[in-house]
Order: sequence, then structure tokens, then C-alpha cells
Amino acid sequence: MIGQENGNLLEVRGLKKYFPIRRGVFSRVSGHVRAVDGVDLALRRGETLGLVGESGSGKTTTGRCILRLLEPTEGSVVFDGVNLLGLSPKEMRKMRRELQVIFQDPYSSLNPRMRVGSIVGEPLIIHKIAKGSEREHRVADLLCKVGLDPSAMKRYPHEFSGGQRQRIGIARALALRPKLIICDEPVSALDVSVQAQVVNLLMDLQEEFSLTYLFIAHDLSVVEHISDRVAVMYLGKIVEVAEAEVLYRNPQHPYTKALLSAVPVPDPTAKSERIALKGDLPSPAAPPPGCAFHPRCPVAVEVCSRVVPRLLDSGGGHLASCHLVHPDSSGAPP
Amino acid sequence: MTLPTGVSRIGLAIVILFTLAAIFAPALTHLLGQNPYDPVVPAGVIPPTPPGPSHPLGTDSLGRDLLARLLYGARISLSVGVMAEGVALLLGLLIGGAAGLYGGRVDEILMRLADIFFSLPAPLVALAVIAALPDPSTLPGLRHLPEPSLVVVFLVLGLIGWAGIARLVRGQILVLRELDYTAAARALGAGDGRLLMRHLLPNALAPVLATATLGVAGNILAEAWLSFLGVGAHPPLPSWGIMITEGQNYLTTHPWLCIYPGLALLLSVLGLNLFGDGLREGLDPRLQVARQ
Repeated sequence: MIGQENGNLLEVRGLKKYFPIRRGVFSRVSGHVRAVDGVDLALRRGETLGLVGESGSGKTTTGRCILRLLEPTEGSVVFDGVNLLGLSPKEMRKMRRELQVIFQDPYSSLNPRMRVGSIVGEPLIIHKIAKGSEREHRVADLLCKVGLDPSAMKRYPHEFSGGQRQRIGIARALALRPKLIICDEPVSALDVSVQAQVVNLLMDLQEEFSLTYLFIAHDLSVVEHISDRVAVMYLGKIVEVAEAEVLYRNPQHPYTKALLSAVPVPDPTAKSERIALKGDLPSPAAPPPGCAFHPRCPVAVEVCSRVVPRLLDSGGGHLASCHLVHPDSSGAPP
Repeated sequence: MTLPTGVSRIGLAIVILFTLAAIFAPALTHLLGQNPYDPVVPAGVIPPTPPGPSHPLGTDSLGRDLLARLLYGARISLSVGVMAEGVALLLGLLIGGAAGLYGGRVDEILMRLADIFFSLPAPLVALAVIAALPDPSTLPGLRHLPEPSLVVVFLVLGLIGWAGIARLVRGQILVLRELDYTAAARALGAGDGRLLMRHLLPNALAPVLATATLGVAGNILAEAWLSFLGVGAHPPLPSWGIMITEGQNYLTTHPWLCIYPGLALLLSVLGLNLFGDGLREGLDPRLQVARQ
């Protein structure tokens, strides 16, 4: 398939996830929450793609649909040439060796009744990779790799700090030597001082194991450090994708511009013009017509409220979906 | 988890006391006096003798030592109570676990089934079922067990009493399956069995055990009730219920024949309820906040 030819490890096309809203005695479906509403993404082998957006923009749902922890409503997820959505549950379980996940909350992501050794060793049991002392050896090795002492094996998750627990989660994700790891806001719940340590650990591990990351975050400054490319999500859609440097230097979509203006600059003399957005994120159950961002957009014009803009390339792989960037973007998709 | 109130500690003490009495019933009856008081074989003296130096609680109409019968009765009450709850627990965990994990139609069918069992008047149904069964000692498979009538009682009580546990387990699992560690296990490729046995049920167990403690108390009462009506334990077993039946005829002249087994029943059920309530409160963070 296409994925292997152009060196993409993961290709997501037209991904949609609608959650039905049920009302009344007979649970009639009265509408849908469009958590993910047509997302296209491609991850090159060995790169880190940052996926940023506000809470409720659908970035976590996107990650869970790729992993098939949620069944997408529509679309395709092609991983290493295989459409994951076409796999039987049994085939999918085998495929899970290749793609893993790290969660946001280091407290709820580890089973409180299992010892760390069992948590990190569980994937080795599930996929019948190693037994007995061989497994113990591997678990100890994994704990060393993430910067923990192998003696941690005999202890329970509650005996560790948030940062340490996140390292345990990373060791568990690494145990199967996956190709892709979806990092779902892995540092959002950590202290700032610990965030940098965990981000650096993830970058070291990426180099050592040639991993590909989809790095989900709501904070552009964290993403800037780790990402090769960044995708910005708004209300279930990708609004802009570019190389990280390009995106931060030359954002095109008004939403990206607003987000970047909110990033604090560690220079008291620098004058930043902050673009304050009006209003809140609209409900994904009733997204605005046309461009979903137009009610909050400082530069919206008449066409924005009528026509949905398409995500188009403005050169060098810099994509944006905005009528002002691409005046021709109102045309029907090819 | 700690036992919060002093009252629930009293409950625990009572439960421990009765458990020890049941376990060491033979040794304790030996301590009582000159000859080993047999709780079962009649000594043939009529009428009952009042409490005295040789029989601390007196004897019944067949000359058997009442304290010895009470001690052995604790064995019956506790073992039937616990075994019945064990059956209910097994069914409740499996049915509630399946309903919570699979959801949808499976959940719908299993929970409606639970509703039906929940609406049954349990003791009456147990009474009807046991009365309809042939004599337990003639049933194939039960014939060689030591006390077939007790086996029937705990099986029937367990088969009727699972619905509350199943509902509780299902509710727990609905919460737990949304947690990240469940998602992590699924992302690792864990199957439903592993998910249930390693991740969901162990974390759902604590409140379930608190409820099961209360269930044991209910089963003890049900066993006494059934035995009182003559469909539970068969005489001459020293079930507290049977003792009360036998004491009825002497209620005006020798009331202790009914009072002592009645008190034993009251105390053991009270102890289990206090302990079970304490467990449940200790597990509920909202109640802990309210106390502070």
C-alpha cells in the first residue's frame, strides 16, 4: 500500500468518531457529538508528530481511534501497510505489539493491585515472549532503560511519584518493542521540573529504539521541543500542519496564531501581541456551519460562515485549512 | 482501609468469637465436664434440666447439654452462611463481570435476570424449592456428603442470592473499565479473560466483600428460619433453628431452651451486620468526609 512506498508508518484518512446522544425513555438517538470529524494525518518513520489543541478538540479521541481502543465511525487507519480497521479482534491483538500508548494520568494508568514487575512484565506474558527468570531479566532491563532501579519491580505503583509512575508506564509501552507510540499528553499531569526529564527520556528512547511518536499535548511549548512536525486540531478537525520550526515561525491559520501568541516567552523585554479569542470552544454536538473556527476568528470574512475550508498545501508540506490562506479552498474536493 | 467506628470493632470481635467457638466446638465441650457432652445423641432424661453447675446452660428435653449444642450449632450456622455466600459470590462475580465487560444486549439480559431474582421473596422461594426437592439424602451426588440437608440449604440460598452482588460488581466494572489501566491492558492485547481476572475483578472486590459480609448474616437467618420450619437442617443436627423448634413446647416452663439459641442467632447476625456496615463505610470516601 501507499504507506510503505512513501515511507509513512501511519496514514490516517477521513477519520471520524461520532458519539450518539441518547435521550428519553427509549434512548432515542437525538444527535451526535462529532469528537473527531474527518482527520487526515501521516506519520513518517522515526519522526515525532505533535498533535495540539484545546481540551475537547478531539486529539485524545483521535489517538484512541488509531489504537482501536475506540471504534472509529468512519475512515481508515493504515499502519505499516495494513488497514487496522479491517483486522479481526484476534489479528488486532497481534498487531498491538507494534503500536503502544502512554497515558496522561500516571495515577489511573497503572493497576493499583499489581506490582511494578507484573505491570511491566504483563505484555511479555500476553504475547508469550518471555517466561520466568528471562522475563524478570527483561523487566529489570526495561526499568533501567527508563531510569528506574530494578528493585522497583517488587513495589506497588502508589509507592512512586508521578514522574516515576510515568516512567513505569513508558517501560510497559516499550516492553513489546513497538514501532509507534502514541503519547497522550504524557507530561501534562507532571510538575514542570519533571516534565523536561520525561520529555528528554522519550527523546533518548526514540533514538535508541528508532521509535515513531504521535505526541498529543495541549501545550505548544512542550511540543515545540520534541516534535519534528506539528498538527493543530480544532473541534475535531486538523486546521494546520507544518514542520515544527515553520509552524512556530510562520503560522498561517488564525487559530494557530492565537495559540502561539498565548505561549509565554521567557524574556521580560520581549513585547508580545496577545490575540485573545472570543468565546469558548463551540459544542462538538452542534459545530458552527462553514469553518468551525469562524465565530471566534478575529479575521473571519463572509465566506467562512458558509463554506467548509479544505486542508491545502501552501508549499513545502505546510498545510492549512483557511479561506484567507487559500482563497480557492472552497472548491469541491478532488 | 481501616475499620472506622468503635461499633464495627465490636462487630468484628463478635464475629471472631463465634468463629473461634465454631472451630473449637469439640475442644470446648470436652472442657465442660466429666463426660464429653454429645450434642447429637440423646441422653434420655426428661424433662429438661435448668442451668446448673454441671450444665452451664442446662439440658434440653432429650438430656443433651445446651451449651454443647449451641457451640456445634455455630458450626452449622457459620458454614452454611459462608458457603451460601460463596456460591452467591461466584455467580455474582461471573454474571456481574460479564454484564459490565460486554455491555449491550448481554448486560441487558443478565441485569433483567438479576431484577427477577431481586424481586423474589428469597426465603419463601427457598422454602418452596427445598420442600419440592426429594429427601436430600436420596439425591444422587449428595448421598455421600456428610450433611446432605445442609448442602441443599446453602446451594439453594446461594443460587437465589447472587443478584445483589452481580449488580454491585457490574457497577464497579462500568467505572473501572473506563480507567486508563484497563485501556492500557487492552492496548497491550489482553483478552477479555485477562482483563476481567487481572484488572477489573481484583479492583472491584473490596466493596463486594463488605456486601458479602452482610449477606452471610442474611444466610444465617435464612438457615435458622428454614430449619425452624423443618425444611433446613434435619434433626438431630444442632441447628439453632431446630433448637428453637424443639424448645417451643417448653416455652412457658423452660424458656431458656428458646432464649439461648435465639440470643446466639441475634448476636452473630448483629456482629456480622455491624462489621459489614463498618467495612462498607470504611470503603466509601464520601462517608469518611462526612465524619470529619
